[in-house]
Amino acid sequence: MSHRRRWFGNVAAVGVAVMLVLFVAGVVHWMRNSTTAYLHHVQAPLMVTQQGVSNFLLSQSTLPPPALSAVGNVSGVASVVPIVTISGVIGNGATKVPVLVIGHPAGQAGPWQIHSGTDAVTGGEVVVDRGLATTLGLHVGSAVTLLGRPLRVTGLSDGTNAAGIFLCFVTSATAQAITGSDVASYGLVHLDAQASVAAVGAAIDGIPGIHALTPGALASSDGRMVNASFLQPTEIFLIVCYVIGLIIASIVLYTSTVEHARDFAVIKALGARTRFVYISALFEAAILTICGFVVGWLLANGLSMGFNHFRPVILAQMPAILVLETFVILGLVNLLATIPPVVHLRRVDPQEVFKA
Amino acid sequence: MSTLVGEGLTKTYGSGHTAVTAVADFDIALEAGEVVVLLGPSGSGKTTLISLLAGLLRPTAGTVRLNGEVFRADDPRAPTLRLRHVGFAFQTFNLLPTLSVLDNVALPLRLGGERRKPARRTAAQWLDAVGLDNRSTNYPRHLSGGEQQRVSLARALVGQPDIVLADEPTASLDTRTGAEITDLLTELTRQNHQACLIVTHDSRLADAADRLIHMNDGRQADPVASG
Repeated sequence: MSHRRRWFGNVAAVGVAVMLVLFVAGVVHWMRNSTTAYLHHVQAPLMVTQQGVSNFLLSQSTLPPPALSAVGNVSGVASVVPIVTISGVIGNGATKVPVLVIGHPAGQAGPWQIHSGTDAVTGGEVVVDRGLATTLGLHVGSAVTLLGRPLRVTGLSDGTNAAGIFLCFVTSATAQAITGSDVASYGLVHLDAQASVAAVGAAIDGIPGIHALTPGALASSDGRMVNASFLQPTEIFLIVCYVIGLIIASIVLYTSTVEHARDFAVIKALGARTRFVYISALFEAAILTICGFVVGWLLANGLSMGFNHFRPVILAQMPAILVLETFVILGLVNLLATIPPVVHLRRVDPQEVFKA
Repeated sequence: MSTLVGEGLTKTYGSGHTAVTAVADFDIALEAGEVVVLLGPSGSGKTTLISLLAGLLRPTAGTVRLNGEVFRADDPRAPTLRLRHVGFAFQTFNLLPTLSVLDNVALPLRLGGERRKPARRTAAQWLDAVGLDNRSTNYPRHLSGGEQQRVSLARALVGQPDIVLADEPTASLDTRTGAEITDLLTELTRQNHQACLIVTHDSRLADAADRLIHMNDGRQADPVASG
């Protein structure tokens, strides 16, 4: 095989390792962010929950109408928007998928990014996450059953796959009809222009059975919960990917150096100092790493776009900071991987040049 | 003063019963502008001797002097001295496949710290001298064996070394090309007043020599006895 082909082969091998690491790192990033995405889009300075509840996902909070009225009467509160959440099952014939249903007043606290259809949900209608739609083969106009209640899909939303927990949006009335009660789960609290978040929060905390906290605090609590639970296996998988990346980089860099051992022997025989030989080897490793990283980044983006387009049930977000962070870590990993080849070069005998 | 002198050079590999002496008490002196052919069969110790003279191998006994100075393989200055004073031509050319012909020739200058542009300019002059000025952008794989050896000669001479050590420079070439390469090597080294040692098993190269040294079993041999 020609030198050029071998080099491209090496770049491709490093690229595949980088793709693996970047994609999984992107999935971890997405999982971390997507679980709190709803809370980051509610646009309210405060939320209220049942006393003792400090999570949004996988939690059960109950706020009866008098409790919300009491919150509404607190000085500085402009309005309270009731949100109903239900952990349920949505089905399309034989296939059923667990979902988090969010019941919200029309135009408030609903889906923030519509992929197709409309978010103007009325009774008997539902907006489902696009990943869920792909899983169930749904499209705008499809009929589904949510906890035994027939609904029609009016829109597909984006960004509402909370690390595999699909969000569905219905009106508050539909949600309350499903639960069979008029209670809400959470309340979004909007304040008067001059009101202080801290002061109003403290005043709400004074109401028995009710707790006020910012959406950010609720999101942090959810983030910690997700980190401590189902994000851990993914992070372990990410570490495994880094180890695989290290192994691939080590093999590629070592074989690449061994292939060029005679060239290094020539350079040594001509009179290059050992330091120059090491620098040359490191330079080659750096070029291979950079080119492999660019290829891997392109492949990871392609893979991410492929998932996003064809199967948006698992997504990878690769912001610049994550790419940079991964590049630095992989650079260090590859630096580690250059130790065996450099040790090999140290032993290369310049007399090799006299061998036919 | 001789350019390169080897006095009592001995190299023994191993020890005790398994010890093998590749070069034994060998004396050699090379003068500027002189072409010396070291002739010997395979296994006679020629490659070990050239490694000792090039400062690539430490002798078990004896000394190498380069321009009057002791030249030791374990001296930290050895690579620099080799780079400045010794040029190499090899049997298998040893051109770097990833570098163009021009950059291969410029390599010793670049290793010596010269900047890319002037190094390439000098390299181009030497490529012209060996008749390959039109192949500078090619890579070694694009060249014939004879052309690769010409590039190797240009690389050996580009740094204006005091001595050129050529190890079996015609062994990988056909007779006619081998003769051309020998003529070119001897002509250029004489022209530049450089000492040239050609190590070979091919007795036809004897004609090119100002002085012929026979080697057998690691020692200087009687020309008649060594055949």
